[in-house]
Amino acid sequence: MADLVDDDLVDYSEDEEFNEDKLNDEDYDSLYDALPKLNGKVAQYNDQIGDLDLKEALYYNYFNIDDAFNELKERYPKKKQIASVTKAKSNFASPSPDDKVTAAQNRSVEQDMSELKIGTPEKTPTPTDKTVLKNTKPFKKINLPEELTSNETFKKPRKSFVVIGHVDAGKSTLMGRLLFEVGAVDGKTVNNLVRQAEKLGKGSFALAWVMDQTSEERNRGVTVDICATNFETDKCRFVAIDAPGHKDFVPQMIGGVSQADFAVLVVDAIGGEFESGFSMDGQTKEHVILAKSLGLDRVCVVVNKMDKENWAEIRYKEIVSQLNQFLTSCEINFDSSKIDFIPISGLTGTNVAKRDGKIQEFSWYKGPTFIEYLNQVDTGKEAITSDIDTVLQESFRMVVTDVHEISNSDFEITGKVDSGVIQPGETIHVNPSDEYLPIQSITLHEKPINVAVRGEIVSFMFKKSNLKSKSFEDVRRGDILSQINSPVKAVKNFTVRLNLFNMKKPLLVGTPFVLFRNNYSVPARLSKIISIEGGKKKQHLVSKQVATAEIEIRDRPLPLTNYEDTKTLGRVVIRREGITIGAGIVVDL
Amino acid sequence: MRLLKQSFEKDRSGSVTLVPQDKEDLWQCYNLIQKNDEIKLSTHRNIKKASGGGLTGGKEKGKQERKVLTLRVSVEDIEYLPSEDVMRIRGKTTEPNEFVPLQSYHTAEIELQKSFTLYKEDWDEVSFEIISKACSIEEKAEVGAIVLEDGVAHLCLVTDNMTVLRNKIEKSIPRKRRGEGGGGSHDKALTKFYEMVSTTVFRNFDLEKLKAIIIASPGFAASSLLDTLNTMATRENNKIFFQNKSKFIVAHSSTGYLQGLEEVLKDPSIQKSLSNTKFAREASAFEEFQKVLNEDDGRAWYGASEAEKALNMGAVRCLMLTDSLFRSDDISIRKHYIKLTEDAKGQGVEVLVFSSLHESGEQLNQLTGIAVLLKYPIVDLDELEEE
Repeated sequence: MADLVDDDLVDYSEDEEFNEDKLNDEDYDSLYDALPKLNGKVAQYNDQIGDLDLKEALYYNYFNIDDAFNELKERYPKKKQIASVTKAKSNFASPSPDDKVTAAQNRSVEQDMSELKIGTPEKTPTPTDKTVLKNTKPFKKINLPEELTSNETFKKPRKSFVVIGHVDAGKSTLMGRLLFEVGAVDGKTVNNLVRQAEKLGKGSFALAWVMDQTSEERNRGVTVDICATNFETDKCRFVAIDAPGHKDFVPQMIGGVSQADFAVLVVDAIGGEFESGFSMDGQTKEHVILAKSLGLDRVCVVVNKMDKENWAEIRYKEIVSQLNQFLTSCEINFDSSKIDFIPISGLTGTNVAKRDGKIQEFSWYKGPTFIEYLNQVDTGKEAITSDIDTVLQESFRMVVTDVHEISNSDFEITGKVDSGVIQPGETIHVNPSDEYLPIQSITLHEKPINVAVRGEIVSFMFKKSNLKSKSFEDVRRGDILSQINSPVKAVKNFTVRLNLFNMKKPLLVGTPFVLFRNNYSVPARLSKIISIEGGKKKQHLVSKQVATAEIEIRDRPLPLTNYEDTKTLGRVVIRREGITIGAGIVVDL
Repeated sequence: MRLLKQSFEKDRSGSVTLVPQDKEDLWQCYNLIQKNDEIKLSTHRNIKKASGGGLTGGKEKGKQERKVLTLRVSVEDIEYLPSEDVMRIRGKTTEPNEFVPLQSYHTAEIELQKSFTLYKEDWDEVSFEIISKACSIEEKAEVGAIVLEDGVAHLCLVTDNMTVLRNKIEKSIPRKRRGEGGGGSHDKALTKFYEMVSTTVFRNFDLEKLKAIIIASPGFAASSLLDTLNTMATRENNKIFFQNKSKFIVAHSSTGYLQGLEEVLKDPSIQKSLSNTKFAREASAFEEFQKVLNEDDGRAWYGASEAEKALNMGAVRCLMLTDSLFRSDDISIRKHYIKLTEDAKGQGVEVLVFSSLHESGEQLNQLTGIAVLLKYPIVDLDELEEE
C-alpha cells in the first residue's frame, strides 16, 4: 500500500473524486479483485448501492473489503457528503496519462468480466437500470448524523400515544383538557366551544369538541375518526392520537394505534360504567387486545371521572386490581412493569396538569399528574440520537395516513416514518399505485425540515404534475411509500401465521373477513390452511388455534412486507362481523 | 321464466320451450343446460355469399352476410357472466340447414325475452325442479342493497338466486384536522361522496320495481346517505323517490365491504320486511352450521365422503350443497349428487341447494360444496370405515 502515498501533496484537493480511469495498473487489479467479493457482501445487506459507489468505497479503503463494507454501511443512503469527509483521509496522486490508456483498455474487458462474476443481476442494479434513473438526489447536501444529533427538534424526545377506551369514557374530553393545559389550545377557543356547546345543551362536550371537529361528530356526540395532534412541553414533544370508542369505528381506532408508541387507556370510574365498558362486548377489552396485537407493549390506564366517585380510594383500588389482573392475564399478556395507573377527572382537570390540595378526599394520591407522567414515561422509542447508525442503514418506509390537496398543483401526504431517513429532493415509490414522486418539501409540526426520520409523523409535499395518473385519488390511506427498489410488494395472496382469539363461529376456508394492516383495511378471505399447530389439518379453524394459512385479498393488491423485514408493516389483524377474531404476522409473500 | 311448450317421452327424454325474462332466469338456464343437451333457437350467423354465376358473381364472392337462422346445436360449452344479461352457448349443429352444414360449430346467445327449445336425453328431478320453480307465477322479489362506509359504497341487486354487484363507488376522504372549523376538507369530501352515491342510486336502481332498498353501514353513514338522498330528491323534485320512500330500510353492518350484506340479510328484523325467503334461509342455515361446527362436538361435517357416511347412517338433519355440484360436466357426478339428494329427501332430511352466486353459497363452495348438520353427534365421522 506504500506506493499509494505520494509525496506530491499539492495535487490533493478537497474536491478530488474517485476516477476509475486514473488508476494505475496495480490499483486496477486490486480493485477488480475485490469488487465481486464486496458486491456479494453488500448485496445481502442493501442491494441499492451502485457499482460506482462500491468501487469508490474500495478505493478509499485501500481495497480492504471489510473496511469498505463498513464504510458503505455507515454512509448509505448518503453517498456524497460523507464520502467527502472520508476522502480527506486519502491522498492519491493522479496516474500518468499512459496509465490512463491502459486502464481504460483493461476496464472495458474487466468490467464485463466482473459483471459475469457477480452473476446476481436481480440484486445488483447497474447504473443504467431504468428505476435508478428515476432516483433523484436530495436538494441540500447535509451531514445526516450531524443534522440528526444537532437539530433542536430531534434532540427533544418525541413520544406518540393513542387514547383508547370504551365509548363515553371521556377520551376526547381528556385530550381537550390536555391540550388546553399545555397551551396548545387557548382559552378563547375553549370559551367559544363552551358557549356553542351550551347553546345546544351539551355543556359537558365542550372540551371534546377541541378534537371532535366534524359536524357529524358534534351533532351525535361521539368521535368517529381518529385525530392526531401535536403538542409540546418543556421536556418532550408529543403526538397524541384521539381514537373513537364506539364499536363501529374500531377500524379507525386501529389506524390510530398504528401511529403510536404506547397506549393511554381511559376507563370510566363511575359505578356500572366501568363494568359495562369492561364486559365481553365492551370496547375496553377489544381495544386493549388490538393495541397489544399491533405491537404496543406499554399502557397507561387513566381512571377518569373520579370526581363523580368522590375520589374514593377504595373505588380506585378496586379498578386498578381488576384491570391489573386482566392486563397481565395470559390472553392479553402485558408486562406488569409496563402498566401504570393515574386517577383523574378530565372534565374538571384535576390531576391532569396539576391538583390543588383543596380536595380532601384526594389527599391519599401521591403519584404523578398525567402530564408529569407523560414527561417521565420511557417508551424506549423516543431517542433517535442514540441509534443513528441503524437508522441510516435502514431503507425508508412510510405508511400513508392522509392525503390532502393543498392547491391545484400540489398535494400532501402525511404519515409516520416506519424506518430509515429521507430528504426533500429524493424520489419515493408509492405502492401499489406505482408512482415515482420526487419530494418537494417535508414538514414536521407544520415547520419545514431537512430530513424525515424513523418515528416522526411528517408531511411530504408533491407536485401533481409528477403523477402518472394526474390524480392523487389513487394514492390512498394505507399505501406504502418507500425508496426505489425496496422489497415492499403489493400482493393478492400471502401467508400468515395466525393467532386466533375467542370466536363464536369457526373460521372456514372461504370465510370473508376484513383484514387490517396498520391503518389499511381490505376485504379478504382465508384461501388455504397450511398447518394447524398441534392438530390435524382441516378446512376450518376454531377459537384459540395457532395456524399457518394463506389469505387472499379481494380488492386491489395490498402492499406488505414480511414481518422479519419491517415489524410494523408485517402485522395483520382480522375482524369479522365487527369482532376482532385474530392477529397474525406475515411470513411469506 | 315462461314455459311455452313441453313434451316428454316415457324414457324421460323430451323437450321444453322457454322464454327467460330476467337475469335470474338466465342463471336458472345456466344451471339447467348441460353438455350434450340440444338447443334449438333463432340466432345470427355470418354466411359467405355463394358464388353465383353472372357478372356480379365475382364481386360478391367472399363477401359475408349476416343472417338470422334457426339452428339446432348440441351444447359443448356454456358461458355466463352474472353482470351481463346474456349467456353464450357453443356447439355443433345437429340439423342440416340451407346455409350451415351439419356438424359445424356455432356460438349462439340466449337472450332475455327470446324463446329457445331445450332437448334433453334424460330429464332428472333437479332439472324438473329448476323449471317448475323458475316458472312459478309467485312474484319474484328483487331487493336493492347499498353497503357503505366513509369513502366506499357497493350497490347490489339481490334476488332469490343471486347477488349482483352493480356499482362500486370509491372516494378518498381526507382526515379531519384540528383547527379546521367544522371539519373543512373532510366534511366537504364526505358530502361529495354521499352525493356521488345518491346520484348512482337514482340512476341505477329502478325504485318502482324493487321490493325494498336496504342501506347498511357501520356508524351513521347509512342514515347520512338517506338524508342526502332525501335532500337531492327534494332539490330535483324526484317524485318517484318520494312515492317509494317507504321501501328504504336503514340497517347496521360492521363493514362497508360487500361482506356486510350477508350480515344484514341474516338479521331477522330485515328478513321480516323482505319476505323473500330463499337466500335468507340459506344464510341462516349456513350460520347455524358454523355455530355448531365451532362447538366441535361432531354434529356438523363437511366434505363429500363425510356427508355420505352420515346419510347412510340416517343421522342427517339438514343437507346443504351448492348448485355448482350439479353443474359438473361429468354426468356421473351430477347423477351421484342427484341420487344423494333424493335419498336424503326420502329420509325426510331438509335439503338446501345453495346458489353459488350468493355469499353463503360461495363460502360453501370453498368448503368442498357439501355440508351436513346431524341429529346427534358422531365424533369420528372422518375416520370411520376408512381402514
